[in-house]
Amino acid sequence: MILQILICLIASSTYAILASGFSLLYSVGRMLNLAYTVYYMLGAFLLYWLRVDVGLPILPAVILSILLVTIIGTAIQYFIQQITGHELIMLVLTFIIGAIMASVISHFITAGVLYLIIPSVIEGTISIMNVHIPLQYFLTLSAVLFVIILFWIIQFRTPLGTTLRAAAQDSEMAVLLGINPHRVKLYANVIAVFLAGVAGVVVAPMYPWSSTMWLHPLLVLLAIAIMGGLGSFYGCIIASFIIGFAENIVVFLIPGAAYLKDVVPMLLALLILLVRPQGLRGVKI
Amino acid sequence: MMSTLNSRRKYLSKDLFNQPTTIALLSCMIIALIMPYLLPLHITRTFTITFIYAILALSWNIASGYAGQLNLGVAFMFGIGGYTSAITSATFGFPVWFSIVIGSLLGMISGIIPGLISLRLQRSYLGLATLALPMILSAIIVNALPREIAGGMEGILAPPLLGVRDIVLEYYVALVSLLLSSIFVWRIASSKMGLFFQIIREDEDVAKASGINTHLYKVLAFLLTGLLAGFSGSLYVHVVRTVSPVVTSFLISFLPIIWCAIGGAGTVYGPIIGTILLDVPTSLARGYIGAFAEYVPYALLLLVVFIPRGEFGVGRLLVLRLKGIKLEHMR
Repeated sequence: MILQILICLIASSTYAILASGFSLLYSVGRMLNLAYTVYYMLGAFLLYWLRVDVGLPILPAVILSILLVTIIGTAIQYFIQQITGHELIMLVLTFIIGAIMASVISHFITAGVLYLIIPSVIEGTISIMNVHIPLQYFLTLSAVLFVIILFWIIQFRTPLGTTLRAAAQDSEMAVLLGINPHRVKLYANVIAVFLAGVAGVVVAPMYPWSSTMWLHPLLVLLAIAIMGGLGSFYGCIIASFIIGFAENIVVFLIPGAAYLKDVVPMLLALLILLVRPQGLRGVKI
Repeated sequence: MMSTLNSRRKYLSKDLFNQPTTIALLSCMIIALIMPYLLPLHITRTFTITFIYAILALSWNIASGYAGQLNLGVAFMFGIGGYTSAITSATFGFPVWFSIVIGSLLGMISGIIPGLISLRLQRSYLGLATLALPMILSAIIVNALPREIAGGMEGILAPPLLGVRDIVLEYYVALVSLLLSSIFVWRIASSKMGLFFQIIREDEDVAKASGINTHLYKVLAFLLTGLLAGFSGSLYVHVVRTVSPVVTSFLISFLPIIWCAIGGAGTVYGPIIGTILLDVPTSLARGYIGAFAEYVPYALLLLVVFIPRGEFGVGRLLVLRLKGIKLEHMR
């Protein structure tokens, strides 16, 4: 039972991190970037590469992979930001860029390997009420929660966060007040990619790595967007916790139904839409 | 508002048969009829599959080109049609034509799902929701259906379209199906329903204000999309003779969008021209470039950047030139 709750919490907070990054990109850049979860996959992949192929110790590997994801992702984001036009074009193009990146990553180093097992950051288990829980879970959970709190502090307690929120609320007014829109976009990109990279690196040891790893978080992000969680920090957190708990509880309750993980988020979003056509927060986005 | 729509409707129906267009249409038909006797078999087969894809592009065009609903998940209907047809004919032993009928009908019924979603979500958000549908479908097919029926990741074999392996005859079946489908779409487009679809695309509030039941017509547009997409899925499965979760991949959802956009969405001929222009060269090129063949569809999809307004394509410009209409008069 403790293990289950822990897994639910980890999944929900990972989704919360990804959703806050996605929502930051959406609110500052006005773009639904479907390539976003590839940065998560890239983080996990780089951690594997640095740990296993290069052979770095844990701490440098973690720091270096987060750094690399942030640099590569910001560069790619720079190009994605140039896309303008019909919303159909944006959706198709960002998804295609994501698919290309995912297939390039999986071609690049893992020729012919379907799954990679990424080594844990800490080995060993701890026993609580006769349940053996890997220490990795606690580390992941605390890291994920730490990142969420850090993001909250950045967004609500620093001048940078005020700038970001101002640009998100009314970009023209923000420009009039002397905020450089390009710099704000750059900051938003760096923060969003950093969040995805951290999520990937921290969660990576818990799941096997595969070339389709980015699709499930993407489905969750789509569901969060439809539930109306985008555009506000608390909306993201609430929607991600609903989805994270719902999908894991369904998987625990119904044996042999792990595939329902892909089905539950969207189903839940549509059900919520059926009951509340205005979305979770009651604000049209 | 109404006058521009009426004039556009006239372009679609009457002016299609002025002289240059008729000549072009007839020569295309003659070329299509004699093609299998002039070209090698593998090119004939490429054209067979291209014609089936053109039906898919036509189907996407109904809900998205005419009615303007952003649909990124046409592979959902395509996959349901294909799997239904393959399972009914391979496992339950129905004749192929009957299983194609069942596949098309089930494709139509599956169109209700995006149709109902379109009542609550609009524009990008409808796109996000429909994008998820094929992924959910493939998860269900691979894991929930028994392996002996649906075959899991590997898929199952489907019986050939005509009982025997005959590439030339299959080509003609695909050609006739494409012809019938385009006549079907043309009849819809020039009917009152097609006019309503276009009003909904241009301005949904105006459509509501002028007494059109927008909910009914949006669901109807998705039903018709589902019918044609299911039909093309069933044909595809029996021509390729195998069905696997590949038929629900995002490429199947996205390529019709590019074909329609290049050919000109919201017209009958646009999707067909776009599909033939883009799919035939890429399918033929795929044999020569080896390892990079996997990236060809991606490169094709990047063409989406060059679409001027998202719905005004090369094909439509071509036909307008044939009709002698200048671009400025159109919009």
